[in-house]
Formats: sequence, C-alpha cells, structure tokens
Amino acid sequence: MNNTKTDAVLIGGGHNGLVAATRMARSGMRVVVLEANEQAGGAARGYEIHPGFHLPALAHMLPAFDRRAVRELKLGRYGLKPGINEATTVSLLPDGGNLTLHPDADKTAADLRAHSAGDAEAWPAFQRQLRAQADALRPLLASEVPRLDFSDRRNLFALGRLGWSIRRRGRQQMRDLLQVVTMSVADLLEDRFETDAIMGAVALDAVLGTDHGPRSPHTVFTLLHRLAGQLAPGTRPASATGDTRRQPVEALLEAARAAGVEIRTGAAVKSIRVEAGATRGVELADGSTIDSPVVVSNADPVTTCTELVDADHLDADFRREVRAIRTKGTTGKVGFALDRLPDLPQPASGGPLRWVIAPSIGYVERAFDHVKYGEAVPEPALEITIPSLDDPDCAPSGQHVMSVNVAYAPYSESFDADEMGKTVTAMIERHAPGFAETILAREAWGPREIEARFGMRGGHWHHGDIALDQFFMVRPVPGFAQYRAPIEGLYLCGAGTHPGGGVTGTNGINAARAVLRDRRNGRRAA
Amino acid sequence: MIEPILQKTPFHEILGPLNRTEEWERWQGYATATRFYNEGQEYAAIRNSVTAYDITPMLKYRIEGPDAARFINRLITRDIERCRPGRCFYTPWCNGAGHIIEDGTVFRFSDNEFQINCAEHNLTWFLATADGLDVRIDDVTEQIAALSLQGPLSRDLLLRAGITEAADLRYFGLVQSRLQDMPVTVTRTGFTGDLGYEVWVRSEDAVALWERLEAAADSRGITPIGSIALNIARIEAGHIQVHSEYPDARTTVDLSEKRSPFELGLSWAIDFRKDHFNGRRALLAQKEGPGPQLRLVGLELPGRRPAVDSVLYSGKRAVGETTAAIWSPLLKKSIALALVEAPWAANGTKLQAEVHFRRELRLQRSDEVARVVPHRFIDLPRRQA
Repeated sequence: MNNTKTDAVLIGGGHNGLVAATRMARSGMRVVVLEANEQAGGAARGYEIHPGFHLPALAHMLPAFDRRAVRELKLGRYGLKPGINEATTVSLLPDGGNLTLHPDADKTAADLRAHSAGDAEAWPAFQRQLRAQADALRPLLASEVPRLDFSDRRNLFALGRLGWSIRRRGRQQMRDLLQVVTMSVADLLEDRFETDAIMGAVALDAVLGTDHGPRSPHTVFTLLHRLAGQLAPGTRPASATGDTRRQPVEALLEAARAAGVEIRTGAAVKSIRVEAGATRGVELADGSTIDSPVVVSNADPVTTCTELVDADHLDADFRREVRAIRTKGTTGKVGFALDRLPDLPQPASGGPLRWVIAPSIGYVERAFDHVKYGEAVPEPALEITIPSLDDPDCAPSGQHVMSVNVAYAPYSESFDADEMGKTVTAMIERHAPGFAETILAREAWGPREIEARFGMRGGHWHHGDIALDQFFMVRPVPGFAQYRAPIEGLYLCGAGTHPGGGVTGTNGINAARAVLRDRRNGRRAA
Repeated sequence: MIEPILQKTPFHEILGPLNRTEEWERWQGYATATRFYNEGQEYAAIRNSVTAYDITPMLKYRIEGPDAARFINRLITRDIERCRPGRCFYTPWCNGAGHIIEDGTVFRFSDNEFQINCAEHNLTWFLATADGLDVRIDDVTEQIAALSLQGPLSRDLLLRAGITEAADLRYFGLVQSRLQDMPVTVTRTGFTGDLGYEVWVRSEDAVALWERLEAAADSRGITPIGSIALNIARIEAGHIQVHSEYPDARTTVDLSEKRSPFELGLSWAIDFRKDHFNGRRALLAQKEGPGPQLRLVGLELPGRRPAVDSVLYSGKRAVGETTAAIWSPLLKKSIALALVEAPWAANGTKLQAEVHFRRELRLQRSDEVARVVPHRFIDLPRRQA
C-alpha cells in the first residue's frame, strides 16, 4: 500500500468525517478514511478507562443527530436512536441542598417557589422565550450557508429564504433576537431572576466549551446555539425511556462499513498534496501516499490550512484569517470508573440526569477569570454525567462510569491535569460523601491533553470558539463557509465549519453534499 | 512646541531653497514639492531636456534570502523568473480575491536579492505572504534616497556625470555603479513615458549626488519638478496610480470599489503559467468568467477644459467616470483616464462627459463629446530606444 488511488480521502475519522465519507460512498465514490488514532470515532467515541469500564471520550451530552444525515445514511437501520432532547439538571449547592431544573418548565417553577416566588413566575416565560429564539436560530444551523453573492439566483433564493425564516416570526421577535444575541447571559438572567442557583446553572450552559465567561458579550448567543442543537424537533421527550442509548459512533461505523468505506486507523496524515492549485491526494506519516482528486479534512481548519497544506498554495490573506481563528480550549475533562453509584441526589426524572456545580453567575465568572490568565482554577464549575445510568453496558453490573466537564482548565504548559482531577474529586466528595473511596480509576485531561489525543487545535471541542464573529458566513473564515477550501478538491467537514461543534453530523453531511454537487457539475462552484 | 509634522527628504536642503512657490504636499509622511516655479515649464523640461523629481518618499523594500524569489512569486502576478539579475520589471500584486493592492517595480540585483518600490506601506502584507519562507524583508525607505531623472537629455546627463553604463542600459535595465567613490544604483525606469532613469543612493549621499549631477549638467541645468508636472506626464503616458485609478484593496470597504488587474488593462501582467500566487484562483475565475465589468480607457475631449471628476453618459445612462484629467501640452488636447462599463469601452465609442468648471465663482457645466481611445496616449520612441 505504498501508493493507492481512490476517489476521496477523509482526514480524520470523527463523527463528521464518518458522516461525510458514508454519504459520498453511498453515491458511488470510493472513500478512504484515515484516522491517526487506533480507533475511529474522534471525540464522540467511547474509550476504556478501566478494564470493562467505557466512557464517552468528550461528548457526554448528545444533541439530536442531523435529520438529513439520519435519512440519507439510513442510520436508524444501524441502530442510531433519536437523540434525547433534554436532561434533568440537578444543581448542587454549597449548603448541601440542590435545585432541580426539569425539562418541564412548570415543574421547575414549582420547585423554584421555595427560593423565590418571582423567579418561579418568570421561569416558564423565560423558557418559552429561549425556545422561540432557539427556533429562530435553528434555520441558520440546519442549512448550508449561502454566500453573499447577489448575482447567483440559487444563492439569492437561499438568502431570501433565510431572511424570511427569521422575518416571518414578526417584527417584535426579530428585534428581540437581534438584541439578545449580542448580550451577555449574565445581563439576560439578572434582568429576570434573583436566585443565584438558577442563574448559575443557566450561565454554565451558555459558556461550557467556549472561551467565554457569563459576563462576556454574546453569551446569550452561545446559549441559544447550544439549545438550538439540543431542542431540535425529532428528538424524543426525555420521558420516553426504555431503550438503552447507543453511541452514534457505533451506528456510524457500521453504516460506513456497509457503504463500502475503507477505514484505516493508525494512519496519520503528514500533508495534503497540491499541484497547480488542485488537490492530488495525501502523504501519510509513514511515507506512503494516496492519490485522490478529493480530500475532505475533518481536522480543524487551522491545522488543515496551516500545517497540512503548504503555504505556497494559499493566498496570504486567507492564511492570515485562518491563523486568526480563536481555538483556545478552556474546558477540562475528568473520567471516573466507580465501584458503585455515588450518592448524588437523583430526582425521579424518567430521563437522563446531569449534575452541575455552578451555584451562581459570580462563581462561574471567577472560575473564568483564572483561565483567562492561563491559571488553574481552584474552584471550577462542573457538569457531571453518569453514562452508565442510561447505558448499563458502559460498566460491569452495579458499577459505574462518570464523566465530568470542567469549566475551566487553561491551555498552558504548566497546567497539571491530574491536580485538576484531585480538585474535582474533592468537590464531588463534598456532595456525595464516600465518593472518593469508590474510585477505581480516574483520568483527567486539560486542553493540551485533549489536543494531543484528538488532534483538536487548542484542545477546543468545537475546533474554533463559538462566537458571533466565528459563526455562519464567517465560519471558519469569511467567504469560505461552504466547506470548500480555496484549493480545487479540498474540503473541510469538521466542527470548525458551519454550524460548529456538537455531535450532529451536520457539518459532515453538508460537506459531502458540496463534494457531490461539485462532482456532478464537473467543476466546483465558486 | 510641536515638531513639524512632515519629514524632509535628504534632498530637501537642496530642493527647499529652489522651491520658489513654497508649495509642498504630503507623500507618505514626507513633504514633497507640488511645484517649484511653473508647472508648464516643468512639464516642458520633462519632454525637452532633463528634470529631477525626488522619489525618496516612495516605499522601498529590500528582499533577501534563499527563498526571496519564491516569496516574490507568491506576491506578484508576473513571474519573477522572467526577470534576470540586472533587470527590473513592473508588476501589480493582488489580494486573495484578485483585487489589486498596488503596483510597483521589482529590482533584481542577483538571484536572491531584490528591491520592491511602491507608493503604499506593504510590510505587513509582504510578511504575511512570506509565511514559512527563509527570506528577510526590510523597509529601507529611510536608508535610500532616490532621484528620478526624466527627459530626453537624461542619458546625456548621466554620461557627463561619469556613469558610463548609462550608454547601453536598456529599458528596465539596472546597474550598480559608482559616481566617483559613491555607490549608485541606476535603473532605466520612470513614470513619465519619456527617456528616463532613477538613481538610488544611500540617504547620506543624497546631497553629494545632487551636487555632482548639477556640476555635470553645468550650464544646461537640471529642472526640479513638482507633482503637478509629473501628473501631466504620467497621464499622457497612461500610467495608473493607486488612489487615482484604483484604491488599495486592503483598505477599501466597499467591494464594488475594488479593482481587478483585468479592469485596469493589466491582463498582460498576470502569468498563469507559474504556480500559485496571491489571488491566482480568483484571477483565473475572472479570466474564465464573463470579463471585467469596467475597463480603464483613455478619453479625448474637445476644448481646453480638463474633465476632472466627470460623469460619463451614454444617452441618459451613466456608464463611467474620469479618474484623472489634464490638458495635454504634447497632444494639444483635453485628455482623461476613465473607468467605463465594458460595453462602452471600445475604441471610438462616443460618450457625453459632464465637465464642470467655474466662471468667476459660478459653477458651470458643459457637456462634451468624449471619444474613447487607448489609455496610453503617447508612445515616444526614445522611452525604450
């Protein structure tokens, strides 16, 4: 296999890479997926933390998978279950108490009454507003991005449709949306509530996985971005239980194999070969080459365009824009294998549960202050899940795995991830006495470890921060939001493209469509 | 006390006292002469004897290193391999969208040593383009002083001064010589469409250069010229200029204002045979597309009034505007450079030009018939001979 030929090469076997590869293969292309790790699946796959204990690598809360991907890849046939749209959130409070946020707003309101009658009254209306605004944003996330080109009819039509999808919601809602998307989530919350616990929990959702604190501008946007993915239509309500969840990666791998996709693991790509402005294939770290007129990169845009492609082939302004993409990861991850279920409060929910430690906006913002200056966070905010509750296959019977997202962890050389693991253990111990003794294994990653493990630049989940200035037409960089890099035959399909991160497969399906459209037209669209 | 805002070039101590009008203007932070005495006489000297224009404020970048040629080929639209050591050439450069950033001259001293001369600051753009290459890029504007010697007697002046290489220095040739003990670089380049040379020296040698040239000229004299006279000559020659015929694409907000080299008649200066360069992809798409919407043209108008800032009409439809206009002393005509929509850019097309002027203080308008002609109005054999 010193030199092979194929129709398309996929760099990176993460979920978007698998989606794109499968979609292309189903249209008759010969596709080779090259995965640097020993296992495909990227951040969405599971890993074995302790013999018999499996844990989702990064993505422990799964939003709904892209409907077009599910349909076109027939993922249902391969065991993909509809996403579960909302978890029940238990906010653990410093006094040992807790506040539960149910998927049902009225139920949450009833619990809130003990804290504040005003907040209880405001909560359902606030939820309705957020949902309406997330709905308004969703067309932007679900579609491909039109270009700012008014001379192309098809494109003009797409622009018009998009404008209308927002405008038809009425003048007032459009005005509200335009106002709130630029606001900080702290301002939005403090305008409506007085209970720290509820504000802290919502604030954490707005900033988790991003390089923002709750007082950073446009964190309402990041909240809506997250909600729009989670609350997508087609997800089943959390109460419809009974199935065990299946990691989408397993379904994707099966679908890919069934479509004839060749998946090579342990195959790191060294460079993308370009001649005369056109993609010719890839060179692997072991020196072998693969000839292919199409290369689709699931790697982040910065790595793809500054490391894999030689600078000779790209315009200076494009490279400068790519370098300017903010990719600083700020989120840590701690995984546990546990001898028994920790003693955390478990309200009857009938759906997935998660626990958060984010008792107030100030708590989260102070944690952010540390990471802003590259320091370890003494008291981070946490999002805790126990995947083995939903999927008993994750751990031996009676035993459990726990996955914790840590807001925040700095991307710095001096950062000691294991120290963060200890901090997190102590924090959970405070709410679940005896927890520390049940730990069979613990693994803690800061952004640097995540970067090394998954090849995500900066260790950023989303391959580039989620922010208004890195969204939609300007993601990954202005003028290149259509999955096409400015080299004939080179495409991007990772989270660094529109609509961003989250295990939805939207980026992958859109990129595959761009490839197939260009193939059909015999040449690429501008 | 506030320091003077504009810097003085090393020639200022000579040229300052010669400027009878005391009319100066800004050029990249330097004071540069608008006119010394009378622009008509200064222009006449360009076409009839020899003139000197201080081009020190022009930005000068020294490019050196193993990857210097590779860097230049990433930057410019022409192929630097077609410029041998000891030669210079004119070239535009573009951004990734194929819009022109600037045009200027590239000197090739050796395989790996170059100088780029242009009107705007380009260091950050050059550094961005040089990403990953082993090349050194220095702004040497302050270290190098330069005089543009233009006119039919310019060669004669250099020979008298003892720069014998001028005798057979070809058009766009470059020679590194000595004027007595002073190192000088002479290039056969210029902005006037006439026989002319540019002489480049270390800044500290500027005054000595002038004195030696003046001594060589003896009673024939050298006429210093200001920007007005130069502008007349450059429009006659049909040379484009940043901020006149096109804006710098980097600082232009309105997309429709950005110009492509195809619109400016520079398609000859785009070499698609070489590998990727900034804007190649976009330029290729432009080339394969329906063609530029605007074109640079020359206009000839009746009467003596220059059609400055005139809107051009075909019937009631505005189809273009003039970018620079003068009364040409050589052609004895009112001429203008203009950007015109492509369907109206063919030679011989007649357009109506709205020419504004003031009679006493009252703003007047006359509608003149402007005829489209090639934008290189003059072609003097001595320029290249």
